[in-house]
Amino acid sequence: MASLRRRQILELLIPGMLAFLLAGLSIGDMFLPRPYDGVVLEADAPGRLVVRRVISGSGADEAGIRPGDIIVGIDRVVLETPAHAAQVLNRHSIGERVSYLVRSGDHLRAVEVELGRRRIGDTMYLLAALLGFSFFFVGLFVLVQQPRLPAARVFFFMSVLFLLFLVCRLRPASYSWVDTFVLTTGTIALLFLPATFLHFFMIFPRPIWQWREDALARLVGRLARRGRLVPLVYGVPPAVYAVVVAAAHFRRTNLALISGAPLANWWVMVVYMGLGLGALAVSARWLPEPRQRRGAGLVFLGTLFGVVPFLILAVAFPSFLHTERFLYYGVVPLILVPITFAYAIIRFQLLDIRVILRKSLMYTTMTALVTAVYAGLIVTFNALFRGTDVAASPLFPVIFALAIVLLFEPLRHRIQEPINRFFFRERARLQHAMEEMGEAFTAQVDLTEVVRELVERLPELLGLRFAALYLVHDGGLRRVAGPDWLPRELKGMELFIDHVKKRGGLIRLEQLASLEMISPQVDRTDGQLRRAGVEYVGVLATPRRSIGLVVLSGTAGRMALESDDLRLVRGLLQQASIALETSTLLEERTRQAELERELQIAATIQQSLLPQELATPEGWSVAAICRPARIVGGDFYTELPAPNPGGHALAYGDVSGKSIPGALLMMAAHEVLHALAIASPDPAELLNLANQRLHRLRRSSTVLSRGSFVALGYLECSPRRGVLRYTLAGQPPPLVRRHNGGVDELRMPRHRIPLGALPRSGYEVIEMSMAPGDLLLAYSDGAVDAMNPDGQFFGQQRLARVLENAPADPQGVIDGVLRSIDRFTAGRAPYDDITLIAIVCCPGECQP
Amino acid sequence: MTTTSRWIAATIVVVAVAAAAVFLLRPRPQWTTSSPEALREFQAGMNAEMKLYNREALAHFKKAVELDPGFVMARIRLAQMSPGVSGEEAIKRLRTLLASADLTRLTPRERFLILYLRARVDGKPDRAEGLLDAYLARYPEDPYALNLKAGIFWKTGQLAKARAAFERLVKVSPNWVVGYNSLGYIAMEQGDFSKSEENFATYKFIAPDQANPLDSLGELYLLTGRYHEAIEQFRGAIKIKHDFCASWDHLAAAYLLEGDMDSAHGLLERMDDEEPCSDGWSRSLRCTIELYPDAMARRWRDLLKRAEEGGCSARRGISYDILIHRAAIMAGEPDLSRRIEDHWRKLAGKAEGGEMTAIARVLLVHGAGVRAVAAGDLDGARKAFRRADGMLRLRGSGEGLFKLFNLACLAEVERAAGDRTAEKKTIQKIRKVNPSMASAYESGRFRPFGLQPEPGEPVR
Repeated sequence: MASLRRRQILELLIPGMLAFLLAGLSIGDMFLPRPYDGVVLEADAPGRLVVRRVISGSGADEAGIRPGDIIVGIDRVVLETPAHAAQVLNRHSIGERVSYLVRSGDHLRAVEVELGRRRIGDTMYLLAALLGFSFFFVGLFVLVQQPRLPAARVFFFMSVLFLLFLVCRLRPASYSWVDTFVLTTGTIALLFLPATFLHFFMIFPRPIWQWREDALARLVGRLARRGRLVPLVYGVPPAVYAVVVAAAHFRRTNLALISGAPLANWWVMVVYMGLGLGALAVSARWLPEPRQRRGAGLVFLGTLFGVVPFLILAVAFPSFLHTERFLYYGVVPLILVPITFAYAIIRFQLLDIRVILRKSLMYTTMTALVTAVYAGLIVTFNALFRGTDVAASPLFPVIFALAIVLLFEPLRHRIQEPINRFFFRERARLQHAMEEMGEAFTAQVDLTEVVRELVERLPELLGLRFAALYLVHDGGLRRVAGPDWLPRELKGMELFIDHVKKRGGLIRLEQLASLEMISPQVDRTDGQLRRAGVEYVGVLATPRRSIGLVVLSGTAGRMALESDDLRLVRGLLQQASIALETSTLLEERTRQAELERELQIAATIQQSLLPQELATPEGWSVAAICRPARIVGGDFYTELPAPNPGGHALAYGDVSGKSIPGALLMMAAHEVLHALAIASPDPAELLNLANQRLHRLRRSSTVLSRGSFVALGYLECSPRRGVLRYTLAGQPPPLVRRHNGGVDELRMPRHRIPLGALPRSGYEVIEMSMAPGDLLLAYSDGAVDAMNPDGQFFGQQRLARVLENAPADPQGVIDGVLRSIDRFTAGRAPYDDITLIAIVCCPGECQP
Repeated sequence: MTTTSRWIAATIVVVAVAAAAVFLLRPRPQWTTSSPEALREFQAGMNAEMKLYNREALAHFKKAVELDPGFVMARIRLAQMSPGVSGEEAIKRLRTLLASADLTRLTPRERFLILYLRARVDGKPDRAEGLLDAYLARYPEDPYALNLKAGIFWKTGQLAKARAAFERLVKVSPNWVVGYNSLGYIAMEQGDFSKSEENFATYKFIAPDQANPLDSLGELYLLTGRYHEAIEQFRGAIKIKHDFCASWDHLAAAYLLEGDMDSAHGLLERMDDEEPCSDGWSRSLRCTIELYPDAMARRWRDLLKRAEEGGCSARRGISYDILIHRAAIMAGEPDLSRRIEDHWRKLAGKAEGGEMTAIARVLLVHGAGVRAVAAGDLDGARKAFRRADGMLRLRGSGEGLFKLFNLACLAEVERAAGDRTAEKKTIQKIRKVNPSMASAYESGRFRPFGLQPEPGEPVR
């Protein structure tokens, strides 16, 4: 886009700058110290050196050369062309007296002319040149701001031609070849100027064929679409010129020229101006948008009252009546043209030149004010101290000047506000509305309200056709508000969003051109958005994250948004981003609180599944604990119906996964075990059945992942004293502290795969004898996997050591182990749930 | 194609087209030489010649030949202008030079000029004119050809065509002074004195250091009775070129016509002191001045006596002859008048039909009129003077003043014949050219014959 914009600007800027250079050189040339007689030649008398004007006090004036005289020869040379005269004059130096042969009416006379310094410019020309340059700069600014806009390009071209016409064609001509060149350039500009007027008025403020349905508008539209309008409009004047000149050449007749152009061309110009003004009048009367109508009307009046007096008083009168008496009154109204254009542009926002004019107005007012203050101070001071030494002191003007410098900035601030109020009411209103919207955003927590403001009020304020909002969702962007014809989702937008962010958060869609080559996805999205009429994209993002995307259409009047507007929208999007993030966070927080509450309920339910009080089998003492790492856990223990009467069976489980999924699986395993244990209390059969059920559950569930298993330990205190049967399915081997103090690890069964991992299983039950005083500690891996701040695991050895020194009662063992773990972890949040079951073969009662 | 490339391409195309145009439209050298310095010298010589600075032109041509001995046109111009060579010898040398020129390597203009000169030198004027017409048809704006053609028109009395051709010449080459000079004389002859003055003034502007334009302008003033201005111009001419003898003559005539005899005698003294012209020329001028009071007072015998005593009779000159012839007839000296007429007749009989022949024929007619006046044949005199008037032109001050004098003779005869209306018309014709002379006639200060004295005027 940047390159496209640069190219578009360059295409017009290069010839524009050349024209500017030519105009500058033309003016500069006028001030070069050349020997000059003070004669200003008639520009429309090719082949003769007819005096148009004689500069007062010049050598020619003193020698009695008068307007209407013809310079026949200079310094013994009969002249053929003005350039010939320049050649002759350049052989002399300033102050020299040179003989002139002059024809005055029918009388030929020789006079002596003292050559002076070249000085042919006058106030009128200065005025014309200033006008020309003001046109140029206004056109240049508009082009740089709106290179895409055809009207802006034509406006710039028109400004360049105006510059060339005013600076080159109205230049007082003397003898130099530069004059001939410059005048010819001015004539060429004059030939094309009405064509640019006609072209501009046909497309300004909107191309007439886009909103008119009559036959003429349709014809013009058809020509424009086929690319024939511009060659036709711009081709006719030079063609007429060429035909007329060729005809005069072949007929050997002298071609009468008016400001360098034949009369036929003036008729073409009149027709063009008539058509152009007609088109503008039609726009002013019937354009659908009132603002554009008013703008077109103003430009119409400005052109009418600016150009018509100029054509009559500054062109027709000097050419036909040979009088320049009214020249001033012809040139001065011309200033109406740029002024009305500029005012229409500011007042009705037709093009983007407000900034420069605002600043110009401000600094002009400032300069006037400062000068007035300075003058006032000086006058007051002189009045107060007249006649004293103080008044004569050179210090005081300096002090006043310093005071003015200090006052400048506060004054500027004071003045800016009333200027803005006076000249830029609509702009101020827009700014105010945007500020209000921004403030509302910062106070807003309702996402719906923010969305509504963005997609409804924002386009209304800016005069856009539509706006839409996309929010980040599942790695993509989903449309949450906006017209239905826009894509519902935008995918692969990371690069897109990054690009927009880097360019200030709001860009024209065209600015993504460089990205399109990198990413086909962006290319696709870009194409979709363009087809939907999107012209701008803005990112909603905070430093922490990207929130979404706002897409905006162009304005209803097909004018591009001004840079000021874009700045305002950028600020607004930043505020909207904050509001949207706040709103999202608030929503998330609410959801989190609900989740926590639900988890708390789940924890309560889960806790209720654990036995409130363990049954105490005869000859055994049992204690157990399940401490979840989070609110809800995956560990559990439960009492199961024992296969042998009088026995006491305990199962303890540890499901893989945490939080809700883990808790759900834990509850499922709990219920499966209980349900199956009623019919199949045999531990091997029970575990095999439970394995099958859980495996099926895992396979059929969309919630449980492939790694969702249940590690289970089964302990049965046999009614036969001292016999303990156990099996393990993924749980670590329990530890046994023998009555003699030694700690052993229980033998692991051959098949010890966790429940639900494989469809088939073959769990075996191991029977072991426990002597009175022997203590068994079964645990889940959360106990040995507990980690200290140094990253070390608590481990089985440390657990065994704790068990060695643990008291004899099972509850004491559990408490001791938990304390040791807590000490070891130094208060760090546990990583995993911990389940401990301690079983002691009672010393007295354990005896057979 | 990027914008920059487009611009570079466009610039290259424009520069190439401009270069091609400059190459194709470049001014081709009109003169063939391998030496640029020689060409510059030759061009300077032609410019000098165009302004009648013949001495400078000769120096430039010499230099050009030195720089490039093979420069054909420079050698030809040098041969044409070299002084000190007798006519025949010069023509012989020129003919050899022209014959040796290799026309194949010359420009069309050079070829034409050589062929034209060859035809002229070989005495084939018709062929020369044919060549000129053919060349002009092809190159209608060649100043050299235009100058030749205009000269032919003028010489053959085709004044309108000559004027148009010279006007074309000065339009094509605005600083060709011969063109202005010729135009001045042609306009004078046509009675368009303001145009004549304009042309002479332009000539004077271009060549203010030349005596000729001042003398030409002075002649115009002399003819038109602006004697004071004429005196100023002639004085200026003499100041520029001391030995410009025609201006001494014209200045004397201006003094005489203005009636300023003191200045006329002063001029004679100056001539004696400064000796700007030959003795014969000085003597002739002295005679004219010294005889003038007797002529004005119609003291014919005194005039003849003074001429005899002053040795004036030894000199032949048109104005002198007219005066002596009239005095001889009016004083009754038939032998003298017949001798003069015989001389005129001899001149008039020449077949070539040059300037002098034409004038001699007029003089014979005019002389017949004078004779008729003396014989009292006023009708015969009127016829003769009228016929002479028809033959005379306002070419320069010499023939022009003679024409006016002839008209004055006619007017006096008409007056004597009692035809006052005819006299008035004739005086009106004089007034249109020279109001001073008409006034002098009307006041009686100037009457060629004194046939019918005014009241109070002595009859001789």
